[in-house]
Amino acid sequence: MKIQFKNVCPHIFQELSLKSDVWNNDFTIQDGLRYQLCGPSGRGKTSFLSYLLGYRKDYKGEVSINNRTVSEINIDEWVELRSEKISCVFQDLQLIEKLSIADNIALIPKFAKGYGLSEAEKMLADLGMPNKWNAQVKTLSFGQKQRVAIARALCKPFDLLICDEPFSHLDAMHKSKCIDLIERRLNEEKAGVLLTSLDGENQLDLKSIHL
Amino acid sequence: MQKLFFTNQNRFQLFSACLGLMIGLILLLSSIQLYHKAKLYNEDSELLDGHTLIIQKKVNRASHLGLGSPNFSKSEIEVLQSQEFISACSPIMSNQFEVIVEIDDPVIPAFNSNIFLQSVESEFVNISPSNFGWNDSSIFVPVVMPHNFLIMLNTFLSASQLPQLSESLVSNVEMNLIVGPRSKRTILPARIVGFTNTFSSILVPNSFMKMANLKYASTQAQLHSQIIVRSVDEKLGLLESYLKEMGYESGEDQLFVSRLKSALSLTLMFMLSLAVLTLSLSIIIMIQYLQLMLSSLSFEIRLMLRLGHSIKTVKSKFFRYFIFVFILTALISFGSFYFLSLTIDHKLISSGILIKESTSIWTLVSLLAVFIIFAITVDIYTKRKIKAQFFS
Repeated sequence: MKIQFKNVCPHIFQELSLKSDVWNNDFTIQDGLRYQLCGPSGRGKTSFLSYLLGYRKDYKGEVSINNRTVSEINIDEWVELRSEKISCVFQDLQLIEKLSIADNIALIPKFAKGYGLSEAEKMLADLGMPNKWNAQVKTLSFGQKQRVAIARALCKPFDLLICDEPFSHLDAMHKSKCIDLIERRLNEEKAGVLLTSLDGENQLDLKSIHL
Repeated sequence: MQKLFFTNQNRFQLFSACLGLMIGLILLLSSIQLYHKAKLYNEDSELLDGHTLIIQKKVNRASHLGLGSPNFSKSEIEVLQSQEFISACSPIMSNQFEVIVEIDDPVIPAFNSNIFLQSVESEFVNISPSNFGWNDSSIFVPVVMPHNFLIMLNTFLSASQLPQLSESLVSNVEMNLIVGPRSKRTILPARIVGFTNTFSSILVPNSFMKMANLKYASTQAQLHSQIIVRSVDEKLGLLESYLKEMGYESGEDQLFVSRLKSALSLTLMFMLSLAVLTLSLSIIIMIQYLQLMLSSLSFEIRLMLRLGHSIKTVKSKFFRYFIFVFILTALISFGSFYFLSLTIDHKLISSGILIKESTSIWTLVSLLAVFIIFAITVDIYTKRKIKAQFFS
């Protein structure tokens, strides 16, 4: 999956004459490669992901996926992209608090080949959450919720995994487990990754892009 | 998704909407059923047909003294025709020759009597023109009998210790019309093709009357002492006032029936309007509940779309839920209506009012129509709201 940003700048940054690797520049995410978006808070990391996923259009310039601008992509194609090509760990996790972990994971429209609810349960056990499968999400700590969100994203099929500050509330041990799991799934899917973080991550062999 | 969208919802508003929908549906079905029953009940009494009156000039002292004509002039007929509350109007033609009806059937004792014939435009006779037409080559004269004639005949048969006749049986009775003056009488076979409550004389086709008046009458001047008028549905009152003002009159029983028809039509109209109003309101409340639900579930809906579910998949969950609610409510409403209808039918039958126990197909058609309107509204509204979440 090839993603291009051509001279893109969020409207809120237009008056700042900001120039970085991404903003007001030409930037390409190549198929199967691994990237890390680095930058302090407020430099538009989440905006970047929102533009890429078609959630927001408050920018100038052009974003294209596989050589088609996001405005050319129709709803059915977006559905296919979201269900099979791009998987996300959202910064705000996007979990349903009133449902159990099992129910939250069951919400994904399509599991990756060889994956299902039992594999997801095992995945969570590997991430240090055995016996929590039927617990309601609202009873979990933020760190545990982050692991559920990571497991949900990894159960889907994808060509590109997008992770928006996925380890912000994880201790070193759980972060390492998560990275191992992500590494395994990236290899299985032969997919690329785009990760945002406040500090640099190097365990996934990521190419840094500065905002 | 079912669990995600439909658990822990406050269903008070939905319950209110269902209750409104139920009342609206019962009212709608009942008004349609009532209309159907009114149509079925004594079909020949034309209970829900237009208000048809036979009018004539009031007979007073002046007319006895020859100061005013009891007949309608051509200009008076034209003035009547031009009134906004009259939808149709036609002079009634009467026989100007002698007529005797003779029953010539082995099952009925011989019976003959001088009678009075009338004819009107075919649109005022509730019989197909193909059955009520006459020309020179016709083998019999089709006649429409007043119901009272059958009652009179049955009274006669009863007095003669003979079995009484139904409408269908009497239609097969062989009879003749003997027309013309004693010196040149002609016997013409006749057959009863229908019955009427509007006219108290025997009706024959216009073409026959014209021919017979030309051939057998001593005078050729055609006088019109009676006129048949049909009022515009909701303007019977205006017609009544006009008749009073012009010194015309109509049979009190005909006026009474017309007033009754007006009252019944108004009641049905009121019930139908109330039903449509209640249904519209309940559907609006239901859509508001859907709107509330979609707003309170905006996070969940957005998440589903972000995870890769299609708009169609998410929409179908809400659509199915509301269709299920509608079908359940409609079934309860139809059951209640059916039970109510049966109870009323039994009450009427036990009070001696013979009525067929049947449910009009139009009740089901109206139910289907409301369902289609509801389904289309829910479908369009849900799709629009969910689509708005797709790129947010």
